[in-house]
Amino acid sequence: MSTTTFLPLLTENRITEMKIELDKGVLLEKFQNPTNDWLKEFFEDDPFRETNIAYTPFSLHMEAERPQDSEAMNIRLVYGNLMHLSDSQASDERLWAALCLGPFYSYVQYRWGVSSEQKIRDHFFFNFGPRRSVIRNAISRLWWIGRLSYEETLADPFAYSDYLSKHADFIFHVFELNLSNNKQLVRTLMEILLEFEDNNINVNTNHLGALMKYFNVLGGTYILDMMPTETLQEKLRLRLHRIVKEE
Amino acid sequence: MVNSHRYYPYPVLSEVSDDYHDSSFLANVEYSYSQDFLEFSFKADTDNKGLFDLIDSDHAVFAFHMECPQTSYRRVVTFKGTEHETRIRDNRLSGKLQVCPFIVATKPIVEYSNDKFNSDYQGFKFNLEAGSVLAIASCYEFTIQKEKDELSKIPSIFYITKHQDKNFKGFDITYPQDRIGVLLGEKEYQQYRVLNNNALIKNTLITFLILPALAQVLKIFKSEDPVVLEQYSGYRWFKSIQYRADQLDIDLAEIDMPEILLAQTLLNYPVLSSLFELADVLLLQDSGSYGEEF
Repeated sequence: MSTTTFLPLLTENRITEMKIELDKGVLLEKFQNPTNDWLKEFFEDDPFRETNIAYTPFSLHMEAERPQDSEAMNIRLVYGNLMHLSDSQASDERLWAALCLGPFYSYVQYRWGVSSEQKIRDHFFFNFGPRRSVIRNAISRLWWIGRLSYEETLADPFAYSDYLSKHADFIFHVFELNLSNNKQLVRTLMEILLEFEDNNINVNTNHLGALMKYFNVLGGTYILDMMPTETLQEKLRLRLHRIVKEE
Repeated sequence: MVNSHRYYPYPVLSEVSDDYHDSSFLANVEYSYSQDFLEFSFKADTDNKGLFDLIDSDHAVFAFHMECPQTSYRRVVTFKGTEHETRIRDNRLSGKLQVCPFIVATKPIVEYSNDKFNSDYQGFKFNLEAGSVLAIASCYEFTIQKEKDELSKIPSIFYITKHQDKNFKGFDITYPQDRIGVLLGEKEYQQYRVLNNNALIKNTLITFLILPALAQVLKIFKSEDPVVLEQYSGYRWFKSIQYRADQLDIDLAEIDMPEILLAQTLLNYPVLSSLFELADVLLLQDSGSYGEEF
């Protein structure tokens, strides 16, 4: 039976130390170890400190043959169990690096592999600007997709993240755009995509990529947050029909 | 400050285009801390009668688009008057916050034209949809400085904020239940925020503001009035200072030492490290590493 404990934190100094060692090329083999026991030796101490955030420990699914197929279920688990994090806490590398190196070490290896330093930098740590980093880090990705697509007015609040996880690259197309910071804009987009699915009109990653480009252009011309939902939906619907037809 | 300019298929009033003549749209935004919130005050005004009339007739509003890439915060604050205030819980924001002021159509505007259109557009009429940008002012970019670590189990017992009295000068100290507050006059606070962005002199700033604050509250520990001691002994900052003194084997009630010396002992003699810090900064300045920033 699980008991409540506190989420771990890896201090900034330790993150920097690990990144420096990664750059030197001496950590790759260690990251390929099946357990994270080597961290204690590396830091000559318990690697993590406790945050002030309580949680009930949970495990992630690692049974799918294709690791990406585990994502929908794991978004439910990570966001469902850590919904109480504030956005500011959830944008802090110290938390996610600790979760990747601590309780979810095996998951990161399973989902993303540890064949190169690049993969380790991208998926165990934050390695880009703020927005891209949280979508690339193996665990913060699961939380933020949940956070930005969770829709409590639906019978299944995770229906949108389920849909996006089913399609390769859909998550990349939707969540690397700043427009998706507005949940209403995400909802508007998702309603159109699900409408197409319900009507058996196949939308592939190229179609969505083209639609998101158009969405981005619209965002440069209008303050979309202030455009009536129906107007925006109609614009997106018409454009997606045209994109699918043109192919 | 960042300039935001894009090309629009109709005239847009902005500093960087000549779509309009003899017209301006000026906007300003400031923020300050208040407990767990950031309080924003917005000002906006235009001398363009056509745009002003659109706002007056509810066809347009002043709109401040706020975006924080780190926390994925995105919000548009709209208002009709020339001033507006709003507050945001500080756990929604972290790192940089960009705020861009606009005048935006709130409903379709049919055959829009303006007396102050550039002559190239004279006589043209435009049909605009709700959400269309009519004017843009320069964007602001803030770095949100938080006084507390939201992940840490041991939060700081000090915070630094602006004094509520706008005419207040210098700094004052307050000690409500949780933390000891250093309250700065408006000008002091603005300058503190500018300097606080500079990691090289962070300790110096802390010493400069926190040392006297600590010295002042240490007087409470020497109080012989049991009511005073009972009142404060449950406060978090009181317990925290008591804990630090216990670590150093100091009896705060009994020790015969001036508070200003005692405060330095508890803070591990910060004056020396601050002087070293300043010396390093001056050395950098001499070597030109700071360029024009310093």
